[in-house]
Amino acid sequence: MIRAEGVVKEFAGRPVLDGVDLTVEAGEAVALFGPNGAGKSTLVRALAGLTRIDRGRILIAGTPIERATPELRRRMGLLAHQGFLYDSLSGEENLRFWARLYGVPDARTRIAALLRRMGLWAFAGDPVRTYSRGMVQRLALARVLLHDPEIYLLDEPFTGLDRAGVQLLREILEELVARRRTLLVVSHRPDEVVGICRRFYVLAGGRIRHELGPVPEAAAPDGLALARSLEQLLERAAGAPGGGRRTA
Amino acid sequence: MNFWSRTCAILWKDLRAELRSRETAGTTLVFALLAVLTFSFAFDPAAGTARQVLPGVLWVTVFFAGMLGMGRSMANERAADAFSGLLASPAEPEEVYAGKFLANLLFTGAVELVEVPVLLALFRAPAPAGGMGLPAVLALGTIGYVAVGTLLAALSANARAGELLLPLLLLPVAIPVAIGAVEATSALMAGAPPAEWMLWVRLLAVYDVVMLALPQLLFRYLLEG
Repeated sequence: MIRAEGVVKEFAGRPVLDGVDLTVEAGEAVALFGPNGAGKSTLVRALAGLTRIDRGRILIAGTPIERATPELRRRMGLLAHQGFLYDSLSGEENLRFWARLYGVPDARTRIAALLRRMGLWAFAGDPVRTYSRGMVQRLALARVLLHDPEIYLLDEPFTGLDRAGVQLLREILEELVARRRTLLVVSHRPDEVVGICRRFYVLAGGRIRHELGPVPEAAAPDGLALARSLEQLLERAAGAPGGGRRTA
Repeated sequence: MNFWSRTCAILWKDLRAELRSRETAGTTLVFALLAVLTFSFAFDPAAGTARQVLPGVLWVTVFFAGMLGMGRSMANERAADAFSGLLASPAEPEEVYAGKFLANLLFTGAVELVEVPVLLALFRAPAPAGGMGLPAVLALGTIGYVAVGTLLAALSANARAGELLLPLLLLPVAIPVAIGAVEATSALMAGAPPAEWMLWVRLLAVYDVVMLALPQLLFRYLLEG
């Protein structure tokens, strides 16, 4: 469903992505880890068609991303660092705008349900500029879920969420996995996504350093041990930018 | 979903945001009125020169007020990184452009609706001849200016210090519409026969067509940065 082959992206002659290969099959949940500056967000933006790559190719549902039609883009949901939310509009108005762009049927009901689920119903009419960081992140998540896409590109979805928010997001992600949605979740904390994702990539210095999984479902209860292993891989990758790609 | 439904969604969003914040229309209207007031003090309405400079004053204030509004409108998109969201959505760049253009046109038109009567009153100018001539010139001049302004505001919004860059990009490109609009308005104010100002009206119409067609080719690349 998501396929990146030899993706290279340079900024001012410096490679930010240096031959990245990554695959997420349909209905699969994959996590992408990496230290700060590893190139995670650049890769997600490239996968969403927002950043042009210099070499390699990106296919979404078999179509090169640069040729993505409105229909294909409707099947994708992107959560980026900034939530694509307008400060002067209320939470409800923001969702109404994006619902109109995505052609969401029965948008009023869907928006109300999402605002309730995200715990934002009481603030639905308030301008987003009055929201806290966590509330903005919840609204941004509601925006991504609004059109019920098949493919989710989630860049640091846990950022800014309190404990209840993290729990809520984990529940939502588990539901998406159960509904066979395709997920690529970017994080720098393995404990956030272990138990949800079955396959893991570690990106550092613009290259995939490790690929782990698929982890069998039976191993899911032992999430703590898996998270520790991933953290060790992450530390190793962050400390050794010249390391080669390995598969476990 | 078709072109117009997504275009209207973007237009609705801009109007709604403006109704809530009153940032763009409020600022541009106050600017335009202050500028007109300042010019009215600078040129004695009792003297003949005031009427001679009136068309220039009108279009200078419209241009600068419009530029403020268009710059602000695009800066809001940049603040939310919303161009990225729009590019990732099913909306085509041409639809984004059309929505932003219509919103900017409405804001600039609203400023003109208030500014022009105030200007005519302060300069003690008689009602211009030519029936619907002045509204037509105002409409054509504003469409052309906002068409190119919306395109360049998107370009400058993606650049560092974009607010400073916009006037440098926009004013030279808007020279044909400035000349056409000022000349046509002058002829109308002087009560000249239609043959005299129709040439300028035609120039404005051609400029509008070109500036409305150009973004269909370029806007995609500007959004992608």
